[in-house]
Amino acid sequence: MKEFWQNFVNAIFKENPILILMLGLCSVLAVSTSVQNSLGMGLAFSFVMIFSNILVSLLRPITPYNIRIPIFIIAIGMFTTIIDLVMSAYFTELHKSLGIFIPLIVVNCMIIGRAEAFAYKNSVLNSLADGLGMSVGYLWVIVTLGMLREFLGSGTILGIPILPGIFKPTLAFIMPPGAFWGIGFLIALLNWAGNKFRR
Amino acid sequence: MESLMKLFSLFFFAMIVDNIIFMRFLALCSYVGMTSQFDTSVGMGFAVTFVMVMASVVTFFVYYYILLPLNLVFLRTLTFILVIAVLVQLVEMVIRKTSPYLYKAMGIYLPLITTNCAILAVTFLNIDYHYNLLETIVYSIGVSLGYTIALILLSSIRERLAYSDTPKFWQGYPIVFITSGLLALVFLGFQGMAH
Amino acid sequence: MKDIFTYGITLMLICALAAAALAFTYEKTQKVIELNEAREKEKALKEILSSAKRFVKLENNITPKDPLVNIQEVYIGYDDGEKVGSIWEVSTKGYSSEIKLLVGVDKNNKILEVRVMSQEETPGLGAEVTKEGFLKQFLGKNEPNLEVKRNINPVTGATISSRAVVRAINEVLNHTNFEGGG
Repeated sequence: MKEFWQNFVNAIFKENPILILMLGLCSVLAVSTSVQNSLGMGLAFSFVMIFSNILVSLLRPITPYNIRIPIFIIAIGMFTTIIDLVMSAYFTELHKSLGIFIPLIVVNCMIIGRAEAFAYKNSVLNSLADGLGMSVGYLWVIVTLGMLREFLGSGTILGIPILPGIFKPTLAFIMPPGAFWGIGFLIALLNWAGNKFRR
Repeated sequence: MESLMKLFSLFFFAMIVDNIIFMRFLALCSYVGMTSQFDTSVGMGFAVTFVMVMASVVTFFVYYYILLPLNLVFLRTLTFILVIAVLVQLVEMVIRKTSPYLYKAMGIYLPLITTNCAILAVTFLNIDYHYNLLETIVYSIGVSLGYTIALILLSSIRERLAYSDTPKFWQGYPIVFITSGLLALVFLGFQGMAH
Repeated sequence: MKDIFTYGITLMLICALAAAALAFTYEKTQKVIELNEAREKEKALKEILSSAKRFVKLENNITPKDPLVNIQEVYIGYDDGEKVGSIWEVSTKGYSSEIKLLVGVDKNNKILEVRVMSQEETPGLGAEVTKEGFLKQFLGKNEPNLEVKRNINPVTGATISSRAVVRAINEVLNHTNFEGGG
């Protein structure tokens, strides 16, 4: 049980996939123009991450080492397509906003990376913990960035205008430059926080 | 003549105006991870160009001659990524046999190319934009050259940054991203120049 | 040798399972998607041509003169056997996406309403073609002589997206004027 918890917490801060390991950046930067998009993307990602980890771990007994990569890809691709189809049917607006980044979940270095580094070598329960941790790590970063960019770029959060009239939003923040600056800032912040806690 | 102009315009659009890194946010992992040195950037750029163009052509045929006629469009994600993985594996084997020197220089990047989101994205975009075979080739060459340019730009700057006095918590990746943000701002200026 | 056999079988098995799972999901979701789309369209048609009691889809495809415009569907609206107008579903090549429009035409062949159904143009620039300020310029027009900067004001900084919409409207007006059935 303790191991489960440890794996889970590890992925959220110390080994945060986005801010520390620098994985899965593309989707985080492109989609975080609003909190709603970030949440949608984060949840879609979590679905694929968690179930892929579980499946890869389950398939361990029949996965020969030499062809493990294609098998990972098939498993991850399957879940990606499932969430893609489900979203286009039940969450059409979100699906349109996220566009090409839903199928791109299959090449998200985080998922393949974790399959190779963890799920292929660990029990199903631990892989589930790792998947959950990575998902939370991904979610909090993308939603924070989404909040930052939506507020600075459109003056709203989840579509609700904040401080209308007092605060004038800058378009640059929902465009590419803002994404880069936002994440640079978050990493610097994490560095600073990590330093503080080390004392 | 007009179609040549159209193709050139498409090429310019793919390479600069809609630059895959600064405007579309794709291939960022390799962009951030490979640009600490100039030489590795150039090598990666060429490797990606090679794979991207080949993948675009192969997936073009797979889509229009297999998936579409058999009504299997929903298998697009899975088949495209498998095509790319197979191509990368083939390229690695060929390079290992024909040029051990090249293999040693590029060896580590090759498996990484499979997870390069830009390649999968471009194969999708070729279909979504309804490009014919020639346009597909031009578009993928443009995109991959744009990628190479972005890598070269950033690595040149990073090599200089390594010697400058960056504030403590901004050292390493934060300053890389701030710089990229500025580069992205520059590329925003190209908007509307080509169609 | 035995290895290749095992690998082959394992991969085939896993592929088959994945394909089966996907085919199942696809079938289930397709029904929902089609239902949603049909409902959305019904709603839009009723809103644009509110006096029509029922719609009939034209069977023969009309070939557009402009290669960048695609006429997808044409619906004739009837009120008790009398034709009250038509709705044209067209798509036109924009700056970075296919812009899909619904164009309502009244029985005098004048533009009733223009609605952008979907587009992926640049936010803040090309995407502004969805706004009423730009679209209301087309109301009442009945001659396919529309041109950006001559008689239609484009969205600032989005000439290409604006031109795409104008092309689509011209194409619709071309056919409502010369085709007897509308």
